[in-house]
Amino acid sequence: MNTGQYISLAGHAGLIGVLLFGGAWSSEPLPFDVTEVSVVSSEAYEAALRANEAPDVETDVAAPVAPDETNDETATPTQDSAPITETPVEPVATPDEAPEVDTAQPAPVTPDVEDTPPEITPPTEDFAALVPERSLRPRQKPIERIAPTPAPAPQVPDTQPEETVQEETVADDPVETPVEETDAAAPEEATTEIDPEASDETTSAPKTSLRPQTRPKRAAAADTSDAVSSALQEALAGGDEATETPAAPTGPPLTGRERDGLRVAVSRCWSLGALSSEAMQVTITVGVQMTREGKPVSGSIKLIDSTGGTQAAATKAYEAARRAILRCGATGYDLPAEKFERWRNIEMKFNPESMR
Amino acid sequence: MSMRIWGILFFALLGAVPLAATAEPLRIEITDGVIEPLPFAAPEFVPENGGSGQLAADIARVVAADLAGTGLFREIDKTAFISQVSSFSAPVQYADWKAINAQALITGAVSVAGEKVTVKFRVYDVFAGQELGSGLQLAGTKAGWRRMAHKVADTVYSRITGEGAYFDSRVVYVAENGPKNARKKRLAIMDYDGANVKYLTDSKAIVLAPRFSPTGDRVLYTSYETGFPRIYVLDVESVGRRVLQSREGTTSFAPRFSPDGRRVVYSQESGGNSDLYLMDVSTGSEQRLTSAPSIETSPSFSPDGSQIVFESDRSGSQQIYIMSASGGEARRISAGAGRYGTPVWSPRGDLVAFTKQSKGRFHIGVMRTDGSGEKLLTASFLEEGPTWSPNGRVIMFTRETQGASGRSSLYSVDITGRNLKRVTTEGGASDPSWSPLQK
Repeated sequence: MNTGQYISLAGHAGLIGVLLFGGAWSSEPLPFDVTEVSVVSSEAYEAALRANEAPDVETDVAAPVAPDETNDETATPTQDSAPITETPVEPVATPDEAPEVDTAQPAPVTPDVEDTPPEITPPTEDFAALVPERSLRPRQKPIERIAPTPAPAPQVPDTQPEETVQEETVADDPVETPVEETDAAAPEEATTEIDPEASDETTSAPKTSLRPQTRPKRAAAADTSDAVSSALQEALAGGDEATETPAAPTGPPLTGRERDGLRVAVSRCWSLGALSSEAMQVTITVGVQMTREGKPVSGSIKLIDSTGGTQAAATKAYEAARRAILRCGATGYDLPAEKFERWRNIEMKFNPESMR
Repeated sequence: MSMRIWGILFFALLGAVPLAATAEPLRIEITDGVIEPLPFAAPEFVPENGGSGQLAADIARVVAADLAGTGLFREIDKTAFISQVSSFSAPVQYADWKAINAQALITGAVSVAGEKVTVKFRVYDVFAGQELGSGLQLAGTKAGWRRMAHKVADTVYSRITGEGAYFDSRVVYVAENGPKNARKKRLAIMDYDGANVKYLTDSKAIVLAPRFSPTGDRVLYTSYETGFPRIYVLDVESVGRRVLQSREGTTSFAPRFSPDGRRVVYSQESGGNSDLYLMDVSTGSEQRLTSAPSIETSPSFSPDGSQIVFESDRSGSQQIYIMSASGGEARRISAGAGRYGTPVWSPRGDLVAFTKQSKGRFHIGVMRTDGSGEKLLTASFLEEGPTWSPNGRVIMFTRETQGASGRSSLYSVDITGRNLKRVTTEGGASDPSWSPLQK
């Protein structure tokens, strides 16, 4: 046994001795306040709680019930703010329920939270691996800057002759051939307004629509002996021809003034004086074909639709409308000839509601 | 093979779809027209044999007068004609009639064989270049030529307007002569246009409120022949009459036939109180419809006979009420200021014509059967007693001028309030009742 061990043995023996016989150095206990506490039975405690319970709740009542002000002194905060539900209120612990609390000196509280700030680790590049390398926001498109006024013509003395001849640039040249700037070039052009779409070279939208290719002409009918097949082939051939003929209306649509002119012209001849009361209740739609001279084709006028009366009344209303169309169109309506395809077929709705 | 055909048809239809889609017509809506008479041309009817010339001209004149008298048509002066119709079967020169803006053309022919008269006619829509309906032929006697003309006009009217006409009808009324304080009154009957007047009673007793039966062959009226008002039924053709019996100590007035002609509804006064009663014409049995301490009078059946409109002062002022034809609870339909009386149900069933007194003026007006849509058609010092034309388009009534020499006359007005005009009568006239169309 070495010296260190002897010292350790002696120390431990002394410490044990102090622990065993240390009472000889103990002082008088410190004085403390004693509070009289009565022991309450569980029944009495439940009765006290019931006295403070919220009134019975009617679930049918939409508006919350105001608490009884006389119980405010005894009501706990949880009771004041308790929502109106059918759930029974749980008993809440009160200060009176801890009779055995040692009130002498509260033990010092050791904070569980460390004061040292957490170490902030900056995100690494790997952490942002899912983020695209560049923002998806649209980029500012290059703007072709055009001066509001024409650039001053370069003065001859300022122009530095080039060794090579520069070909004249063409504005509409689809092929962008980079041209090296020269000293003789005009100053950078500017535009009067910013238009990012002006030269959108990065758009992915197709520049031209992909028109369907025309179907190749059919060869001669394979089986000309078949009458039905032949007739259908002829019908198809005719359809192709019709498709090739411009059937869509040509020219711009009629202006409001042109339409009003036609409407007023027909109105002048739409006489309702000799119509029956029942026919005056009928609204009809009449279709008519026109000649290039603006005259209605008499045989083409037909009743398309009628509402608000019997068939007999609609017939009389139609006859009055037909008379109006033919009478005022006898010399031709004033319609723009270049828009003939727009008014070749007209549907006129005759509504006498305001004339009754 | 079949599949092949269907396939080809499918593709053919596919090709046709865009073609049809591009053929969109121009669409416009017309809401404003003009209310003006329709111009028509009525050349003199063609006399097809000797002796029919004057008759042909007269018939054409009456036809034109009937149409023009409605206010819905305007006759084009014959001096403006480019074409002359010399043959009933000759083709129509539409261009000539279009040139004078004739929208309708009426051609006809008359032939006479003894007392028998035959009338043929056609109606044309000039601008459509086609006939309206088919030609029609009527046969009658010389004495009845006016009725034949009215029937021609009725047909023309219906073919153009689409509704029934009223030219071949008659009016029974009270003809008046003498000053107001000693006026002679007697029953008279005439054509709707004032022609062919015939007196049905003499002027010894005061007569009131004649009313046609639904068939037009009988007339109900009130007479003071015995010193007390009593209701009589008169046969128009024979002028024979009989009294409708009423209880002792009562006075009956304001009678009107039910639509089936079997019953009469009227007002009966007893002990200073007037109520409505219903009597079976054949048996004379009586049924009381109202029992109020107020005055109920001027009853009029609905066209289907299920309801009765009448006037009553049960609310303190004279108003119009409707109740079931078997009596019971009545509902008031007049709601405006003033006094309403003499209600008459339209033959169409949709309107009630009435007399209104307001602010010292009298009016003839119409309202819907629920009391809505009240429209006053006329206004004057005194007018009353509306009666409906058979087609429910025109109302005839009495208008009396002011003063000691004031005179009663008959007037007619379209239910639109247009075409107010005096009906020609020989002397004074009041209390008209329009007959149904004659058979």
